[in-house]
Amino acid sequence: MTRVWVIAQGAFREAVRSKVFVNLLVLVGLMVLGGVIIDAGSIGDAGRLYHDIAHAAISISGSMVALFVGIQLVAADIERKTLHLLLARPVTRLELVVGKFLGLAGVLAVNTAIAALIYCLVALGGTTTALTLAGLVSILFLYFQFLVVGAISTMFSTLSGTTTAAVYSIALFTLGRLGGELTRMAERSSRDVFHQVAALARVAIPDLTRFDISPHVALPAVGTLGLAMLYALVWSLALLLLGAFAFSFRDLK
Amino acid sequence: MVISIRGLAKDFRVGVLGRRMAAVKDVSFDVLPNEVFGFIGPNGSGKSTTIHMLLGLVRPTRGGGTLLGHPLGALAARRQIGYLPELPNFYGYLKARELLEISGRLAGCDLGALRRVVPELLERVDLAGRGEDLLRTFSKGMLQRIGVAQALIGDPRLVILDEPMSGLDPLGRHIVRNVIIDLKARGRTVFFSSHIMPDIETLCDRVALIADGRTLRVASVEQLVRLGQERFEVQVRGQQLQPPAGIAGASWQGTVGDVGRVEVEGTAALQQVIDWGRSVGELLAVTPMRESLETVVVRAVATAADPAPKQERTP
Ligand SMILES: Nc1ncnc2c1ncn2[C@@H]1O[C@H](COP(=O)(O)OP(=O)(O)OP(=O)(O)O)[C@@H](O)[C@H]1O
Ligand SMILES: [Mg+2]
Repeated sequence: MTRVWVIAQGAFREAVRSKVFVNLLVLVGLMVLGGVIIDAGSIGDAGRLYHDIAHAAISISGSMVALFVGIQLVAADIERKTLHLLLARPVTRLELVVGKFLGLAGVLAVNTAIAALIYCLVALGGTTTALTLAGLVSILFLYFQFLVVGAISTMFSTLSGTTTAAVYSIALFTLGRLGGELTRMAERSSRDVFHQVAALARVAIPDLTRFDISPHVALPAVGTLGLAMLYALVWSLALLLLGAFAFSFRDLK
Repeated sequence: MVISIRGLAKDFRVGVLGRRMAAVKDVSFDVLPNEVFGFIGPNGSGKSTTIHMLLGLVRPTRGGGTLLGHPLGALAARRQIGYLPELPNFYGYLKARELLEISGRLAGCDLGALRRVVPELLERVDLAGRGEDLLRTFSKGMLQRIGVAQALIGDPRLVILDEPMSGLDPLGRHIVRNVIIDLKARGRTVFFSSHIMPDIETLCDRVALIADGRTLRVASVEQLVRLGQERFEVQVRGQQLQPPAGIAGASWQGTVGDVGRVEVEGTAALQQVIDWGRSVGELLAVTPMRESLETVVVRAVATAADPAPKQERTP
């Protein structure tokens, strides 16, 4: 356990010091600007627009961090030969993968927390942009989405080089964002093949749209929320185990 | 036995087609407790790959062995090993002190002990005062030295160093030599690869010489050098000296004034040349021509790569 923690800490520090949080500056700018303009313009349902912009901005920034830091976690470490030091120590490959992922989860937590804080401040500062509980919960669930995206990129990072890992991670992320849509379409089709494809997609592709919670309508039932959390944890764990398993066969250069 | 490997081999899959490339073909040797063991061989002969297999970083295709009594790469073995990778690269955004602390905690040291040990180690590799600097600001030689320091953390029983002297200035090399001597004095075992023959000669009890993925020799430095030491120079003074005829292994080097020189290979030929010298004039000197380890290694590798001349020599 200490070893997992030490690796997580190291990965966290490395990511933070290599300035992953600069993306937040863009985010702050976007949200403040959005808030101010919308407040001044008051076109249509101005408050609603602010929440949508903020939600999308946080979603994109967090997913980017999850994708790009995740890809670096193992693949870049192998390419730069920095992993030799860690793996020559009494550390199992599973401990390494889990530790690295926890470091990423920490980075994502800080990133999301800061983004959420700015979101709240701007919302409270505006006159038309009221802060709702649904708004806050929607950001919490974005974090669960980031965890799954981070697990996706971490898994591909254990399998291949950074470029390949990037391609596959973005592909799976995109499929995941289409999520339910694709499977629902296939299920509505009259052809049997599509039903089978849909069934396969359901187990092979994490549905990232499950974590989309509208800041505008009433919160879903607690049970639904709990299920979404569980969904995130199970998928992350499965992806990490798969990654660690494949990684245990991989040679370092 | 601290390290014992037999018939270790590794094929890498390269390219899109997964073509097999033999990086290591057949490497065997034993390293005894408290030995300083040198691992030498030309570039690309498979030293680093062999070391990676010892540590479980690379899985052997064939062969195997034990490390501190455990299977290669076993966790239990890795608990007692310090390792310096070749051309070490570190997380650039960590501080030198943090790197040592992380290494130490992974090796199982507690934080209290580390507070004491880390400054000592920094001092040891002449990096005291640089502990709070990010590793990305370090020069090549400084990285090498911090790499040596992290290999020593946790006082491991076996220290494996892949080219510890590369990129170091004379002071740095001196530091690393002393580290190795000190490890030996404290009963530890050291296994290191190097291209610097004088270091091998002065530090190692025994060496394994590999070429093209195969072990050629496992011997003490003395034995290796002695193998090549069967050469002598004989000087004879006499009037109008003629080359000695009919002695296999003697080669006439010509005369300077009235002194003639003959180079002789093998003790049998030497006796004949001495007899000849006494018969034609005055025997001035018989000098063993001590070959450097470097010459011996170069010859052994060349012979292994091209076995034809060797067959000629053996009747
Ligand atoms: N990951 C890899 N994939 C394919 N081939 C490899 C890989 N690693 C090493 N090789 C090949 O294996 C052979 C042995 O390499 P290795 O690095 O073990 O040699 P070495 O003895 O350490 O050389 P040097 O003295 O230059 O460090 C080389 O021919 C190299 O090209
Ligand atoms: Mg090497």
